[in-house]
Amino acid sequence: MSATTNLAAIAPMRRTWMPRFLRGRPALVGGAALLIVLVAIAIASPWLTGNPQAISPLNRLRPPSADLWFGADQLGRDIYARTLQGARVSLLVGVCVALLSAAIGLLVGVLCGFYRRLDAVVMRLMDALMAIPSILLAIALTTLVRGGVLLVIVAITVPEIPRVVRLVRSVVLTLRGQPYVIAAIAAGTRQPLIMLRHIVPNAVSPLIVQATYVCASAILTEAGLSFIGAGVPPEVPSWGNIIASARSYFQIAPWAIFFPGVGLALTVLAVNLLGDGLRDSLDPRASRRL
Amino acid sequence: MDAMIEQTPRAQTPPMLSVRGLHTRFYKDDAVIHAVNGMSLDLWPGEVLGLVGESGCGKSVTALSILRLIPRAVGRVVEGEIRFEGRDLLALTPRELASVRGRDISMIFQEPMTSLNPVLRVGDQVAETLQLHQGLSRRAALARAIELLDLVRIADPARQAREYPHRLSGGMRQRVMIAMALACEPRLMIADEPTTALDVTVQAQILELMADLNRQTGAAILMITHDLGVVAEMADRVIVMYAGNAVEEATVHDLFASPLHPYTRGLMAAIPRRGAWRGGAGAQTLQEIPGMVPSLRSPIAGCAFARRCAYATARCHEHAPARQVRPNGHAVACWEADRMEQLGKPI
Repeated sequence: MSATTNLAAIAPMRRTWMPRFLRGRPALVGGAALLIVLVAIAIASPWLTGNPQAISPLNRLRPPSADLWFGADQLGRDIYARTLQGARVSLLVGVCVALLSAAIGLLVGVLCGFYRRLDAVVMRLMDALMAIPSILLAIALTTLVRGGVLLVIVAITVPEIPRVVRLVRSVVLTLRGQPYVIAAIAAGTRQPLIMLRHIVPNAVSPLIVQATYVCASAILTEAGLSFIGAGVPPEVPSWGNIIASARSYFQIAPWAIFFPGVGLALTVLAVNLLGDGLRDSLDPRASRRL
Repeated sequence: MDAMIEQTPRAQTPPMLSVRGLHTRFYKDDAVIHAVNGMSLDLWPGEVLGLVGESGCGKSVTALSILRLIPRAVGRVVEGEIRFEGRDLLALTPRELASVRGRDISMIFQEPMTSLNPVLRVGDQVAETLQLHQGLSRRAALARAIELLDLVRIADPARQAREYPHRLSGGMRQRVMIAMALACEPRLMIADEPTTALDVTVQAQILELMADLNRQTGAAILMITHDLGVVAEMADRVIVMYAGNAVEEATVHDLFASPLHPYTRGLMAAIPRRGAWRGGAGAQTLQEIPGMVPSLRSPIAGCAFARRCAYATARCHEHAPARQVRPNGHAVACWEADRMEQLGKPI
């Protein structure tokens, strides 16, 4: 194994259709491919399916068949339409939470890594934020304002921020001692440029990996919130509220829970595979295969 | 001490860099580490000054103190004066300091493998200094960076400038570091063990390059090394450091011809060489200096080297030796220097 890899490294690069950093990384390729398919389905779902809210009493609890691929629920709503359109909420929430918490976490984390006084204050604040469970925060927020996707995103993002801040801060503290950062200071580079050019770009790869995990956990949390009714409003199909509404008929119509459940599991699997793959290829220490 | 400096042969012109009574301490948990204890040095324009001593003697800390590169959280200069061309470096504001760093004084570090930012192309890294200090546009700075890479003898500089550091060898990276240090034509380059991480042939090339650049640009070099061979090859003048202070200072010729401090003698005796052994045919073992570098956690009473010194007397253990200067400018801090002089060369 090692001999062939080394020979391949020495031999002139073979032209393949795959970029070099993807080669030999089935988790990364598989996760990315699955995620691309899921995102494509979510985007195209309004054109692939009928109205997910249309009630058709004739089809009540109809099992999967040629014209109702995933069956229907107790109100006769098309599970196929609901599952596919439910992906939109899950992915939207997952991606938004990941981006938001990464952006805020990067900003706060870099500042904390540089300014010790700020650090002392902000870190205590982060400890306090971490103590809030996202489910309880979401319930509290929905009682105050009318629920919606935006509210769910905020409620999930807030408790995720401290984890990202801590990660970025620790990476920044390590990077500040790196010889190239000291060399840049010795060359007369001032602090803002040190942060932007020398610290941030090197802190990005662990951040990307962390963001994928945040994304996966946000998708699960959103499903949980919608399941208990504290998430997106019931008129918007979400895997969580589809499962919740079909719960009482589970014994006689399991397909109404099965398909959104599979969608949820596949999405989280795809995001986690992508995260693992990125970690392996972005962090050379984690797994350098010889 | 000032009287001593006036006696040095170059006293006609003022030194460009003058460090007086530098004390740098590190704070670790509750312990205080006295890394540099009263170090003084002078450096004249165009000169190559070697700073030698074993690991932990304070060479690098002296260099870092000059450019104020020791993070406040770790340690600080507690006493002393550092003057560069008349300006007190310890009194500069962060903004003024940033304009001195890289433009007037630049630094070359020990670890070429990690001294370049892995996510920036090497050309851009060299260009960064130029953009900072000379206000060049990105394009002009990059063009100048390619010229500099050519100057430090990197083959095909235009292509290498577009490479990321991991594609370059250690020697190449050290050349890039030197190019960065040279970029703004500094009047002083501080080289902290520039060749330690490189293999011997590359080491020779880098030293030759630095010597050439010193001749061409007239930039003074403060060369920090533990390698007496490097000093002999490069330096005009040498300061030997021990436990955070200078123990001997002389021109390279004088130092190697008649080392006056027992520590310097010990270092020279410890150089492995072919066909040189003390005590005739049987004794081929390499000489060593017995004992260990003293702990720097508390101030040392008497001479710091006394415990390892074969010539130490009761006085050495009690009183720190005063610096004495010979008429030729050869300075030494040792009570027994006269005896050392009579002993002649160590080998």
